Amino acid sequence: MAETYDFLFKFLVIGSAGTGKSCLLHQFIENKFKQDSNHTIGVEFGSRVVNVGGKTVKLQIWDTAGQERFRSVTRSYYRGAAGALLVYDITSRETYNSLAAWLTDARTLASPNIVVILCGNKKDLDPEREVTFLEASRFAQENELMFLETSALTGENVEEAFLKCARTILNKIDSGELDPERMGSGIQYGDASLRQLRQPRSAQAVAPQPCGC
Amino acid sequence: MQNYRHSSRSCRWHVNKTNLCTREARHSLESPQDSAITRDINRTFPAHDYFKDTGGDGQDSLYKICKAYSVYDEEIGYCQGQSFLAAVLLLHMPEEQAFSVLVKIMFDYGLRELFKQNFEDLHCKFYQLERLMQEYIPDLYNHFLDISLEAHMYASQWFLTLFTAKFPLYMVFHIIDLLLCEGISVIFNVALGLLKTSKDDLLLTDFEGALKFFRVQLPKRYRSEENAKKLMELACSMKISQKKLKKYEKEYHTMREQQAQQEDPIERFERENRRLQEANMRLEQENDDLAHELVTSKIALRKDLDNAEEKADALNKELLMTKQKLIDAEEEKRRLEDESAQLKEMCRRELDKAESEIRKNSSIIGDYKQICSQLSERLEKQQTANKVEIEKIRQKVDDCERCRGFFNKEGRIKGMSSAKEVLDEDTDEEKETLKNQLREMELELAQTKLQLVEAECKIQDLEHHLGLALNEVQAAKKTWFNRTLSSIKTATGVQGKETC
Repeated sequence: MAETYDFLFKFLVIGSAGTGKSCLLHQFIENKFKQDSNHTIGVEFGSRVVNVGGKTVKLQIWDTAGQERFRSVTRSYYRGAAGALLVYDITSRETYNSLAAWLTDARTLASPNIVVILCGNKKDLDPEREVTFLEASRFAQENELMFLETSALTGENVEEAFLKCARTILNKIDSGELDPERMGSGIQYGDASLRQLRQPRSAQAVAPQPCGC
Repeated sequence: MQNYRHSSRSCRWHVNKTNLCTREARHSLESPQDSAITRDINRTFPAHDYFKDTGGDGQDSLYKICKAYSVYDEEIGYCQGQSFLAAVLLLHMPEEQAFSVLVKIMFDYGLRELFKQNFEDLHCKFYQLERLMQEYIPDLYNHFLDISLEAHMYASQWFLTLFTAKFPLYMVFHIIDLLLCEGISVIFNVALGLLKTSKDDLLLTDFEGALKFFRVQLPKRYRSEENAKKLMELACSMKISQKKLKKYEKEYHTMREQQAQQEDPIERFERENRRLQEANMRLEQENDDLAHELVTSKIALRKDLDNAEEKADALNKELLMTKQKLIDAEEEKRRLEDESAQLKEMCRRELDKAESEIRKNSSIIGDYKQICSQLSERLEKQQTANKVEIEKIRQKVDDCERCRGFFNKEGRIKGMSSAKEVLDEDTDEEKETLKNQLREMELELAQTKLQLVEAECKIQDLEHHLGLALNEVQAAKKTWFNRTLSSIKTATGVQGKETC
């Protein structure tokens, strides 16, 4: 528990049901594919400390239920998220078509500045592909998203997706585009830097203070 | 240990089943959430033997129950989480009963309240749980407050699936037992029991550690049956009064109202605006869909109407034709009836004629027979008279001395010749007349016989005629009858079609 880190980012994993959100999270945290996975009810949580550009960053990741009706439950987790993985399934056009709605949710409920990376999951099922890489990358470009195709099964690009998102947030902090001090930015200083600047926040969505012991 | 069907429990559980014989019918209906259900079915207890095979019995039954429920309860529909409860029920009883118990739990036990209105009741339950924690496990409550861990982060799954998703099945069965006996509020007993038994561990964790504990260690702990038993005993021993729960519920609602009032009005209005806009968009979409549906159905109806009218026209035409045919057939029938009447009349006439002829002939025959008999009578009389006379003559001859010689014993004829001569003169004459008479009569007889034969011939001829005439009448009758019958048949047939 006594991890130290420079920053703490709050992340979301969102997207339609059955796109592999929980498996992506599991692959990122446990480095293996989650066999016999139940579908997510409400939210699940996972965290991992990563090293990005010489800084240690703790990622607190909320994995949300994909079913539309759970949005009213999951939206309380959106507030104050710094980054999001927006996941669709390359073998299901239906999940691709609902991306715009998920994106609107993320930008209105979390923050307009939320850093979003689009993940076309199930890359390993290429023969069953329904959404081309080109098409999705165009969508990403139009909506100013980063884009990767991932496979939670093989682990391809999974770590990269989280790291890329974290790196972009760090860059934005460096360039002053993001202000960690602002309420609901989804970013906190860890105990290794500027501890004095961190204010205890009572809002439910803001992540807890790291344990200093 | 999870492979067997728990039959004894099934008896107790299915006492609760509601009578829903319409389920089969509902099953056949379309569910708009079909794809969502299909997707979740192989993600429900995927490690359990009964549910692990795609397309297996377990998954098939589970799919049917979830789909049936989504159609049965349109307001809630299919909601992720239901499939775990349905699967647990399926391990105890057949599909229909499991569905009935699911409906009972959702409606009568009030589980569906949790899913309604954006899970408002679920949030109320979280608040109640936190207040109960404050009362029963205050140190843990304060620790959670410190690390900003809120009930919705760990208890969503507990409440929405009635603890069925993560815990070992035998423990889940105990929880469902308790729930069916005591009602939905046992979820607080179980939740508090879980928190209480894990208190010492949880007090040592930070935010992430606590969430990880709930995800990993907590379900693991109850793989030991002893721990599960302890937990259930603890849960049962806790007395949570309904009054208290009601009080907390009220508190929650007043708190919500205050929150709403304290909120920045602009923000509130903006949110409201957003909500209304969303609703508006949804309704517009719905309106569009309905308009489209209206137009298509109108077009379809118009087409149907046109078709029906065309058909009616054709049928009317056919009806007219059939009527005409019927009239023709009736005319024909009348004509044939006349004809047959005429023929009958003719036959009767012929018959009468033939009969009178027969009568005449038979009277002639009768007369002839009479004459014949009279003649033979006369002949006999004559003969007897002659005999008597001959006798007399012989006596006279016997009496006469002179003449006796002619009539002796040896030459009877010898003597007679003289007498005969005398006699001959008389008898010859008489004979001659008799002979003549006989000849005449024979002639007459021959003629009469000839007449008879002729008459018979005539009768035969007439009978032949009669037969022909009768045949003709019969034939005429038959063809007329057939024609009328067939024309009537076709007429009724056409009419029948027309009424269809």
